[in-house]
Amino acid sequence: MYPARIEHYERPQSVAEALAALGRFEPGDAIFLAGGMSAMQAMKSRMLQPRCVIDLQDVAELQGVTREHGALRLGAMTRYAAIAADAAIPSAYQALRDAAAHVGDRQVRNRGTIGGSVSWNYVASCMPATVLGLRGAMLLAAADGSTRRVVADDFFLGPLETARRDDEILLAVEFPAPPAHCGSAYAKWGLIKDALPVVGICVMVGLDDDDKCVSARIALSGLADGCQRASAGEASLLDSEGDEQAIAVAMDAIAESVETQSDQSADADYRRQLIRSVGREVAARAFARARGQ
Amino acid sequence: MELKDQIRIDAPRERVFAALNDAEVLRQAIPGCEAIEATADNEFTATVSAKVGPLKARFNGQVTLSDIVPPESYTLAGEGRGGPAGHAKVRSNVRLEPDGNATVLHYDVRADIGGKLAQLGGSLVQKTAEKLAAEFFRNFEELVAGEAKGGDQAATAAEIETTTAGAAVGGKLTWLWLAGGALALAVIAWLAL
Amino acid sequence: MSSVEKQAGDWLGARLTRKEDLRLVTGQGRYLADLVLPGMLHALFVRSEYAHARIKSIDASEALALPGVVAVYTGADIKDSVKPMPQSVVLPNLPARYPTFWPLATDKVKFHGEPVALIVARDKYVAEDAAELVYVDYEELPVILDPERALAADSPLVHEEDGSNEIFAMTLTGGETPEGQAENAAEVEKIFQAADVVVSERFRVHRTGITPMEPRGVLCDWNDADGLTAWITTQRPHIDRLALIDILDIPGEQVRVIAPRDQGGGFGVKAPFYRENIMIAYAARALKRPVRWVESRYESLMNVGQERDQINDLEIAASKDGKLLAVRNHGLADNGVGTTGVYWGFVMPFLGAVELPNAYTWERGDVRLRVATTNKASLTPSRAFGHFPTRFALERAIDMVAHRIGMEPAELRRRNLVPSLPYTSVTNEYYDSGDFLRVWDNLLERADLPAFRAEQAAARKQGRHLGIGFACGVELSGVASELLVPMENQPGYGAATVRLDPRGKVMVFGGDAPGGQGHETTTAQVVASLFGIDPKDVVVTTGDTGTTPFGAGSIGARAGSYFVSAVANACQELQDKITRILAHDLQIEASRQHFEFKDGEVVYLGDSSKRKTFRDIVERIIMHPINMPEGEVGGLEWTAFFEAAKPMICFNADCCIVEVDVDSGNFEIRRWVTSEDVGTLINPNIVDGQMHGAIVQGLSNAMFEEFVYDEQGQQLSADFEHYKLATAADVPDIEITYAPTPCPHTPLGTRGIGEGRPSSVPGALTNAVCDALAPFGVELTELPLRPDRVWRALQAARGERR
Repeated sequence: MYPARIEHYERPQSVAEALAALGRFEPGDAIFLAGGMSAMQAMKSRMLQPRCVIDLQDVAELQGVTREHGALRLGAMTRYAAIAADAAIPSAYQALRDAAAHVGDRQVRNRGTIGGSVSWNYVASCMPATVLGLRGAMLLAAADGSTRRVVADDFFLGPLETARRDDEILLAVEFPAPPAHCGSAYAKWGLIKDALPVVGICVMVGLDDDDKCVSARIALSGLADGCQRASAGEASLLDSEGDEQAIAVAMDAIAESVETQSDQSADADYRRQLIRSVGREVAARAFARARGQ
Repeated sequence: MELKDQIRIDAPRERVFAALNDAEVLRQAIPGCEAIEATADNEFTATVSAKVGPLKARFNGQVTLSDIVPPESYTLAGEGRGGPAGHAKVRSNVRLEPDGNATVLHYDVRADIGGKLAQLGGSLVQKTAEKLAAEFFRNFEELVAGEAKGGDQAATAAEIETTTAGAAVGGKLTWLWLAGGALALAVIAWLAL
Repeated sequence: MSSVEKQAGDWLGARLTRKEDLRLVTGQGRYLADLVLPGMLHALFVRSEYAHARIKSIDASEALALPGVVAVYTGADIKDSVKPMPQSVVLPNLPARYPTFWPLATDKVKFHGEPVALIVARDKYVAEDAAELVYVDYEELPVILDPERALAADSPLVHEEDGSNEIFAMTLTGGETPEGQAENAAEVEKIFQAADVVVSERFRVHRTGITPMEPRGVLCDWNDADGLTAWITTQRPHIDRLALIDILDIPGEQVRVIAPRDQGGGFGVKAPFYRENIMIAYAARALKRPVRWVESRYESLMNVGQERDQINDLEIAASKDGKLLAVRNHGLADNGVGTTGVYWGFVMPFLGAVELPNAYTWERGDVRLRVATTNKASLTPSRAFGHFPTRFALERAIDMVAHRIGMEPAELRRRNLVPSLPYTSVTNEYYDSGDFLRVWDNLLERADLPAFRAEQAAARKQGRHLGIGFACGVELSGVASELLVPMENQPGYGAATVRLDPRGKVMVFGGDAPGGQGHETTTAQVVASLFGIDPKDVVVTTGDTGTTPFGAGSIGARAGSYFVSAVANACQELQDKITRILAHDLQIEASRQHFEFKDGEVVYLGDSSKRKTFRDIVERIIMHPINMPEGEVGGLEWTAFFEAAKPMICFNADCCIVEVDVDSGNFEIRRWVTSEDVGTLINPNIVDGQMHGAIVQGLSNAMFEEFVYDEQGQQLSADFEHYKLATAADVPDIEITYAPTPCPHTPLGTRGIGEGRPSSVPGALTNAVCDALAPFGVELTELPLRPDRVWRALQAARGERR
């Protein structure tokens, strides 16, 4: 209900200051506060009891969306609302807008950030699966000034676990310049509108000049093992033309191959059904976008 | 929730059983184990501090051992409290099966979790427990299978026999409960996250 | 029609913006959590983490030692100085096994969330730190979670001293005697044997209920001069006051209970008398400092708002030409522990069984109920009190009868609606007035069933599945003493004090405690219409036992039926006195019907030059009572009581149209249209709001909200991530239409509305989904109604047909 005592509150004005603040505490004793949509809940229920909260609202280097030669860089503090409203995001990465536009509700979208979401990596969240599906990479910085880039497949390690070390800060999420004829989409199913995903799917496909699928990435959210690639489906889509039949076969392949769980929201069988029904819709939209429709 | 699995350990059954009884081995194998202490015959307490992502908890637990059949099997019952996070009750059956010079360790854990832990979401707790159980056994396997041969071994073997004999006779069972108990506690501790 | 109605002016029926709203939307609401007293301490309950366990010991020494902690109380500490429940003031006059309990657990904890200790500290953060330092040694006991198993002879007991987990059982038909009931049952059996069609099904409704936006809270102040003042988020301050007097043994002159002016919703959840009230008052008295407890959402979801949770084994016997002959029902409710004052959990299912027959004629009925105690939080009242499950069962069964005989379900209903009122149901419920057929025909006209059937047929050819579903509900309009005294040991009359002031304003005092229904506005409209003044000149004060007449509470739609009627009666008495004295002043022979109260004046109809402003005549009577008529004394204040001769009802009917996606089981409500008999409408905006709210809550309960307990009795739905409420995006536009019949038994023809309204929603919705899936032969009999269940039913149906 009410958090345990928080001894220190820092409001750094730069990444260097933020990392310096972090360094003054034992690993895990200080946390970064991005949008707070997950961290504050965890603090209120006392599942998280930081000695220090390092509030990132004023750190300019974490803000902003930049584009360079088609590559996209989203500062870690970019709010869902900003992503959802960004009409300049290319069709290859439209899944980001699909996901961002339907997280929680308006208030959540005005506060929550992409950086917070991928760093928290909750099972029932949209951004990690979307970033994974779009082959995003996380740019991390350490106090000694070094930075490293970790691709999504290596970054997301399991529920609540990422490759970010205790002494690192997430600077940005980056996406490479996409090839031509590339499109993506994301959708989820929850019991109520815009609920946490019971199952969510991100599909990104690339076509060659003959309209054949030459690249496919599919990632799932909502499953107990955390966000994950669905390689069975990816393989199935390659060389196809992304027609209804091909998509249905691919989604069936995924549904049969992944481990789904039963819980309060849905049982394992229905999650498989959702993979099929939501997946078909998402894949069709990804192909349409790849074709410029 | 239930955890049922097995792991093959590249060491003979007697050594595995003894190692499961070795407090030092266990303290190293259990992720986040800070202390293990005997409180009575067949009973001990342990403190484990564990972390899953940003969430960490310190867990205090107590374990009781029963149905001991060295070097084959035993049952242990454990309960632990994790402060505001909740509580857990664990019952596990551990069975060692010889496989040539190696051992297949079967574990069958039934855990009832309560309080905020239970409310956090069963699938998250399940996956976390599975993951940490796997980590425990990885550590354990390294410690046991990688044990150097040599002079120590003679002493160890003697200790093992004494301990095992003691167990059989119902003598001082200082380390015996630690095995499954630590396992149970580890599961409890991980469940506290 | 009473003469009061003739005087009613424009304000009755006006869509006036609510007086409450400006302060609420500009942050000037004054809720319990806004109340602060100097030196106030903060209270927190330590609650059980186990569903069923013996308390071996409690060690609170570390908690007490924490700086900032003032006191820690456990059951052992208070057992000898607080009287245990049951106490008669919060005890129904119904035969039941009432468990004994104190406000803190004493020997056992019996549900996950039961209060075990109370911490009082300087602030809420320290209190929570201290809660972690209270160590309770529990010995776990087997948990009892299934109501059917709870009633088995070998089941462990929740309340050991009661000797049984059956807290309540009753046969609601065939009279009071076992012989009469047996004879009735035999007659019913004969009807079933001879009937052309028998539908027999088990219907299940899950544990769900209403979640008010504002959880509970209590602020108690004790001082030796005034005694105890308790602010409580309650719907019934006068009852709470009596309970505090009796349980804490405080002289009545020293107890005042106040429901805060603004409350964020009650819906029944704030109607019981709760343990927390006792403990906060106790602490305030012991510490001689104000103590405040504000419930968290987590606590609220753990402890209150859980209702419905019934199994109804329902049978209908009917003729092949669509006559409903007899209904037979065996209801089983899962009560949880039942340890809440006034309702004890089982009063809801009791009323649900009473209301089972609904708006239909039956030759006979055999309606029985058993209520089982389990290791869960007690059922607490929720809008559609007790009959959400029985209404679902009946309305579904009626559709199944219709399918069996090949008749339109709407037509089957129409043939069996009670054709003229008053009428007494087979469970002896009295329906006082109304025109069910008119309401129904209004709905049918708006729904346009033939057009829909054509649309449905065309859609089916394209592989789309549309469906239409109907249901209706007879609902309580207030609760007459005749029913409330047996059911809750409380009176049903309405009471209001109307006080005029020398500046022409009117003050109204009522002892009930609304939670956002807009009673200030509706009351002001009634008073304004009767006195010919502006509603802004009327001030309504509610919920303070120190200043208001006795009120049983804001429950069961009492406002529009009983309270407003008492207000009207008081105004009428004052109109009489005003006109008597005015006639005397004007030297004319005239009484009230010769005057008109309009536009701030009182005008003689025989000669409009003879008039006086309302303000002037009121000032004259209150301030300058000389030259008065013989025997007349000054002053203008009146307290009136209203009791209807017989219990009263209101009535509504729903029509729902859905489209179902048979691949995923997803369904969408395309249209929701209603037809309502609400009697005379005071403020159509407010009535619309009541209907919208009720239907949304009904949909949210039917589809989304579910309290889940695991096999250990751990309650897993204690936050909004898990307990899902409908958002605005999840519900359809709702078309509300009215076909009202003024109530002949109230001065203004008004009916109390809104309380029972959600009950017809799940039937209409599920009937629509089943209608859409008729080609597959799917008949759903369980709630919640969710896509995965629809999908699974379709899988099963397809599997069977292959």
